[in-house]
Amino acid sequence: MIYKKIKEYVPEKYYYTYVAIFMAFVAAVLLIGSYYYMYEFLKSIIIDENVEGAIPIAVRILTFLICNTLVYFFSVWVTHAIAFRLETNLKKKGLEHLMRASFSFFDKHESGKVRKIIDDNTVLTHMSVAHLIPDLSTAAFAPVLGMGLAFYIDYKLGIIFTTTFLLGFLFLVKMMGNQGFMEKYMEALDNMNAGAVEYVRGIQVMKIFKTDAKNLKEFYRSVVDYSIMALKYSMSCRRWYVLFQVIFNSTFLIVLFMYYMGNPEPRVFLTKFMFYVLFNGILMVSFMKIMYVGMYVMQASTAIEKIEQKFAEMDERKLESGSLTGFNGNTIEFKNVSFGYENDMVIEDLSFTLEEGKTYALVGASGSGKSTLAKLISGFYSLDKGEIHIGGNDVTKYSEKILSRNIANVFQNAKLFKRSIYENVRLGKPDATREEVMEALHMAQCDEILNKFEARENTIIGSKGVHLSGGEVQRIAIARSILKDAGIVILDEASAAADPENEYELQKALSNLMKNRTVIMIAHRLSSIKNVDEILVIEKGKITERGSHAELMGRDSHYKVLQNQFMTANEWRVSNE
Amino acid sequence: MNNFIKDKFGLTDSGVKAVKIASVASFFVNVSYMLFMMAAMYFGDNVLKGVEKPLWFYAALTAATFIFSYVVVDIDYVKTFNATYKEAEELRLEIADRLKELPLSYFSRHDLSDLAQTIMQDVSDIEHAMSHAMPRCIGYIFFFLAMSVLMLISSPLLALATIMPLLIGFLMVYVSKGLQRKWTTKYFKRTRATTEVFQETFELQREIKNCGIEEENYKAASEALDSSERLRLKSEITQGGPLLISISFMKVTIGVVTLVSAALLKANVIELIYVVGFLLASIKLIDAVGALEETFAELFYIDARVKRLNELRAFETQAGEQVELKSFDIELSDVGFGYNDELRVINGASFTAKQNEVTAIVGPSGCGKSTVLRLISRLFDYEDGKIKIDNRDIKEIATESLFDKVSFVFQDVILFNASVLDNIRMGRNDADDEEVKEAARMANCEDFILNLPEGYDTLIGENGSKLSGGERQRISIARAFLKNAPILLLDEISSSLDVENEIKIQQALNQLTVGKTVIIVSHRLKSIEKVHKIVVMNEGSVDAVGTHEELLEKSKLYKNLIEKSKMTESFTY
Repeated sequence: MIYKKIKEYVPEKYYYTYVAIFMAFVAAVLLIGSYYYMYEFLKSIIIDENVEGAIPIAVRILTFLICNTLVYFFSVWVTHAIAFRLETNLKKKGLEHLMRASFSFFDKHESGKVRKIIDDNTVLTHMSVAHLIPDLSTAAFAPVLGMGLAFYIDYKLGIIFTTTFLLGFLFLVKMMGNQGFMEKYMEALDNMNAGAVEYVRGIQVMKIFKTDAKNLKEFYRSVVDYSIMALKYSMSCRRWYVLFQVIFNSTFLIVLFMYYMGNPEPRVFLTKFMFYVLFNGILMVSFMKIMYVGMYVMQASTAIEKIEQKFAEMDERKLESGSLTGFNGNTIEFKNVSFGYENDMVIEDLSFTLEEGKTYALVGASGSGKSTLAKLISGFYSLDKGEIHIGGNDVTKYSEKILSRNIANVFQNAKLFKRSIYENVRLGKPDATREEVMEALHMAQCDEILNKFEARENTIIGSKGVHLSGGEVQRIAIARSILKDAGIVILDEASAAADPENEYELQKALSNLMKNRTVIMIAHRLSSIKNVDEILVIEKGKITERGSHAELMGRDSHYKVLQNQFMTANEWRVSNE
Repeated sequence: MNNFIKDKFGLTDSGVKAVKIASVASFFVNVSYMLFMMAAMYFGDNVLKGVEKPLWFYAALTAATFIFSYVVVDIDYVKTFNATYKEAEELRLEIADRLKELPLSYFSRHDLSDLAQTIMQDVSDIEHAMSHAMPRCIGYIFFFLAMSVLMLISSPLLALATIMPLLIGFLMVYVSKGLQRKWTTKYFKRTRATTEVFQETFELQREIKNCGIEEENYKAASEALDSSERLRLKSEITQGGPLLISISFMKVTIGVVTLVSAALLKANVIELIYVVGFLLASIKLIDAVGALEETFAELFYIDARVKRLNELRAFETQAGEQVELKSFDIELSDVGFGYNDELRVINGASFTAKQNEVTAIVGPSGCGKSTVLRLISRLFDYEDGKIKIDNRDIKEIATESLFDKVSFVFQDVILFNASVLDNIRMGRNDADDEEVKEAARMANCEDFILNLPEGYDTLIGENGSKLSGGERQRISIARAFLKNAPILLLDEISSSLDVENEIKIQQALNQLTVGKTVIIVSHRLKSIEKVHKIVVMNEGSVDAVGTHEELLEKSKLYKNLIEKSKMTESFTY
């Protein structure tokens, strides 16, 4: 279980676990030792009535307890070191998987959420593991050593101690309740959390339309259901919990009867009896620890499970790459390509060729698969079937680096790094000269953006007072792509999210980027693609029409329908009735 | 006491009462365990003094204690858990209602989806603390006090030997808590940079891949993670150390008691049976502390959570009186507003939107167009100047009364995981099915709704995820049809929709706007050319007001915007 995971993820510090366990063992020995002296102390004052001799024993008790604390502390420290390393290594593993993940993963999962899952769960793992080892060791060693001590003092005590321990275990198992309950409970909790997210998100709508929690039946019910479920679960543990508590606090009284019947020497008996009363507490503390350890193990296991599930999802469509480091032209060829995000194929058995140096526009209704098609060319997707060849070779044969160098993607919502504008652009070509970077910025219509800030191209993105609109961010991202000087450019509604008053600049920047390259573009403004070399009309994942604007408009094409619809929508006016 | 518990643990009034009852039960649980000890001590005393009692006497004594203890623990368990889950339910619903009362300015300071989860988790944490920690702690404190008094009466010196280490331990816990908080803040600041690198690697992974810098980035992120690990290990030790030491200190109590009792026995100032008794008592107190260790940690842990809840409770809600609005001219004069202190978003904006007219607001992005709509609807309260509806300051109109008369079609559609019918019905909760369907027809929704697997009863998934963007938008317009409020605020619909949907929405909108005070925020200048009045905004204030033709004459900004949009439209690649 969890130890195996530690071995898997923290091999370099795995021996720390042994150290920690050993420390915890020493701490347990010291603790039991203090109890041994406690017995000696009682013997001294009750049986021998030797008060003088009792003082050094008392000093020893104190010393043992202090040492116990120190050693335990050390054990905790060592486990913290393991736990932190585990957290770090899990995060690094996360990054490694992330590096190989295909873009389908990013389409399906919001990166912020994935990051949060990994972050939150590594923290959880850390917390659990940090407490797990010392607590588990204490919980295991103390009763076992204690058993030895009890038998050493009197076999009858040993028997009672052992019986109590086993009985406690039985109760504990019973107390855990049945697993089915736990599952239902977790489900109720999940429902409620989902409801809460929805509720908070909808606050402004609910305000305006005067709806409250009770109107949101689902949410209201999930809150009530959860409480009922949780209470039921608690009540299913009730009897065993109460018995556990009462019996543990009273077993020592059994000693009383056993001895009463054995008719021993009163003072010897009293000594042993007193000792047992004190000693009994060890069991209680052990069981408390066991309960918490159970919780920690469960927490850590589910946390790691969740993280590993994310890893698996990242690996699901892991990218393959080869060793080719040069392109032989930029002709794009789809050979019987099939692709789907889930089980349903978006594109099935599609073959076509795009020639080098031409500009292609993909058009189609939303959900037609045009966006998917454009994305596949980027090489950051793995196909279900078929091959995509660029420059004569299967894309998976190229090294990742050369692939990313030769294909420029401009997404709808570009993001920038928290570095200077200059650095952000230079990422496109790390060995670029200053002139090249500045020229790229100029070509991408960014001069006006630089003028806004005193530090110009050295302005740090995300720092105080630096606010860029969507269109401005997009333009800086375009500068990066221009600098990259890739042979193929993919534009997926690159100007749709821009602020309208900046759209014209964005269009100009894009057309600078497109010059002399092989371009695949999806434009939301159908009026802007009239002059491209070829238009591909996509319907249900198939290319149904191909041709220039003039050709397609000249016949009774679907393209013509789409263009006309666009015109209608564009000419609409809010009525002034 | 009531207020203390309420404040400290963030509970409702009934929750406080329940905790008090559970605490009393918990006190008696401790007492009942002590009874076992007393039975033992009584027995020991008899043995020492040679008093013979029959076996059945002890058996009966034990049995009685056992039964008493069982009953008390059982009562404690039932009371505690019943109270906990009832309180958890009440807390959640209370918070839900409270959230709805808060002005949106509260939410703009928090990340929304985070907020929901945080609050639910906070309540879960408080709930757990309530069942596991609160009554136990309070019960223990009173038990500790009662025991202390008893012990002080019987043997002051030995009592001090028992109480002092425990008290010092408690004190140290308290002090270490303060230190911990300080270190946590300090540590947080120092590791934030690391967090950012990690975050960036995730959130910009696509860009990283596009630039082909995966390896460089991985190296940088790994290094950051390593350095943060070292830093955190150090800070954890400095943080956890004091707490651990102080709790351990309490455990040493038994050693101190034995030492003192030995000394006292030697000086012959105490009887043996007292020593036995004290040992029993201190073992009980210490056992309880051992069990409380996690409890303390838990109470500290919920501290920040409770604070957050209390903040939410203390946040000022919007005032105003109930009025029936009769006429619906909206008048803004010199309005000023900012989402935070640093930035004024609206700065001296004035215009009037007349009943039965369509007023459009245009301007460069970030000029405050959408904010104006939010201010008019009191989703946020304006700060300077005045906004009047029906000649009343809207700040004096209760939000209830105002919301009765306002429909708002938001840019980001928000739907709930419920049936289509229920989603539209939100527009007017008392509408019957036929009215809801009529609204759907008006909003051009019926064609796609009837194509859904269960028609109007289809569940549409989280935030309407089973519908397309255009369909979602149409549902939200159906809501507005259903409500049919005299004031209609439209925020920037139809950016990046597919044309088919867009045409349907456009048709519906032209129906919806009839006979209302309509304010529309638009990016598509062309679409609002014909409205009665266009308000041109720039950097938070009004640049000019007029019809399209008038503005072409008098507003340079408007003219620029129009020209830009013409250039954009005629652009070809």
